[in-house]
Amino acid sequence: MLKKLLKYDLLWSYKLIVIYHLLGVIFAVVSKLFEALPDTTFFIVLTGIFKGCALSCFIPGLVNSIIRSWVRLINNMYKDESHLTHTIPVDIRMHYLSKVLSGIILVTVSTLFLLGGVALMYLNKNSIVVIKEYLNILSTTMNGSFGVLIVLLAVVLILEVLLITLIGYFGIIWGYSFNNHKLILSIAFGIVFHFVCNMFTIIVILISGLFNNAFYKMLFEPNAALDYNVILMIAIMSIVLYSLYTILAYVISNVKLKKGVNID
Amino acid sequence: MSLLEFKNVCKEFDHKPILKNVSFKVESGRIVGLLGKNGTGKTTIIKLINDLLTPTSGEVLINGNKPGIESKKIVAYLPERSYLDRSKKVSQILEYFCDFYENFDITKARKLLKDLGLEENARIAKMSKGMIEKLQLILVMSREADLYVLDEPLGGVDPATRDYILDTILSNFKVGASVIISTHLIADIERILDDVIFVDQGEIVLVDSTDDLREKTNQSIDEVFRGMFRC
Repeated sequence: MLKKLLKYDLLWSYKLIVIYHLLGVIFAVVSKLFEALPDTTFFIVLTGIFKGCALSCFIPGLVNSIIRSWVRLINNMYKDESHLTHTIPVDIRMHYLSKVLSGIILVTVSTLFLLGGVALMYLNKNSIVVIKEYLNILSTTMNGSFGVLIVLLAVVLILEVLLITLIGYFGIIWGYSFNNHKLILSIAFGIVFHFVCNMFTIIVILISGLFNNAFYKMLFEPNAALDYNVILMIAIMSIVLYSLYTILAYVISNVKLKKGVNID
Repeated sequence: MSLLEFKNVCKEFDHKPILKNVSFKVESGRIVGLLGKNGTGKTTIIKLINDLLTPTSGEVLINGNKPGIESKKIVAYLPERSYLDRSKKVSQILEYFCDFYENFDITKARKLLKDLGLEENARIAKMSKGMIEKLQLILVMSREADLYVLDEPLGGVDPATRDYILDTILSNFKVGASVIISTHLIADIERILDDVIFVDQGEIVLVDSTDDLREKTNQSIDEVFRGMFRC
């Protein structure tokens, strides 16, 4: 049943986003082709324009993926369509799981398109050499592998985007359980959850600072040098916390849904 | 065991009572009219049957089960509004119903579509309100359900089409199944009803069989309704 639900959710959400991705790829490839042409001002400007066009497809593609996932949840579970959604013999938590999974897939795909597009447009032999040299310097200075750190930071970025999507779902489910001002309450619940998560993160960082001297120095002492191990610790801590918040948002929303819905 | 049972059901919105201690039963094989003026709680009762609302107190039982997956398998619901994804084609909606309802008869649906002059390739967004209502009725009546719950099925339809719709309902519901029809257009449907439930201000004010009621009052159901709910 989940497979069937996922098919409809993904089709609905992706049918618009695919336009952003296709256009983005076309512009990125064209910019790359122009880059291969002689370095005249005309071609440099043209390449810049196409790169700009590609970015203005990939970035809104990602933003729209998040927004469209939220809109799908509202339309399908709380607006007119909900009269069909909630009367098919499927558990409401299965509906929600499908929305969450489709949101995760959509947002991850859009993030990968953005990262891939940027790599396609900006990575070439020269830039790769420059980046490698820069990373080597950083790794030597900070006494650790910067490649690992970059991978971890990319994971943090994806988790953060997923958390934003899940917080949106959380806000919608709680906001739409009320009879009035549903959208405003949805936004308010989302903001409050995000705020609580941030407060918790700050508390965790402060507590960590109390027990780790290097951590404390880097965070609270002026002009402190960057410490590789501390940055690594922050990245891992972020991954743990974002995963925790994402799971928490999912579980609390599920508990709320289990109590039933109130459809106007 | 009754097919549908409401036991002292109350529903409040923002502490305002919408349904007050509603209790009634619907047995198998009956066509029941849920009758009342606008805004008296008919749609709330129907939404409670379909798990679209949760009761503040009391219990709704369908074949002995609370509204949930099992009840949804045997209840076919026609809402008073359009519940279809407007970006889809009729054929895609048929596919959706096939995917999720085991008792959906696509052959019957295709036949009814043809009878009512609706094309499978038509896009919902391009269809008129009346056409969408007909399509939704076809989808609901093409299920082999035990209970059909129809909320204002004649609402947006011209008088000439009403008889056709009523005949479609009568000739397509499963033998032995029950039908609940909510409406305020009583004159149009009273010929097909076995029982009536009158709702007023969130309360059940009358439950009776149509034959008994006609005999007792010597009036048509429409006249009884007008007499009872005169403003």
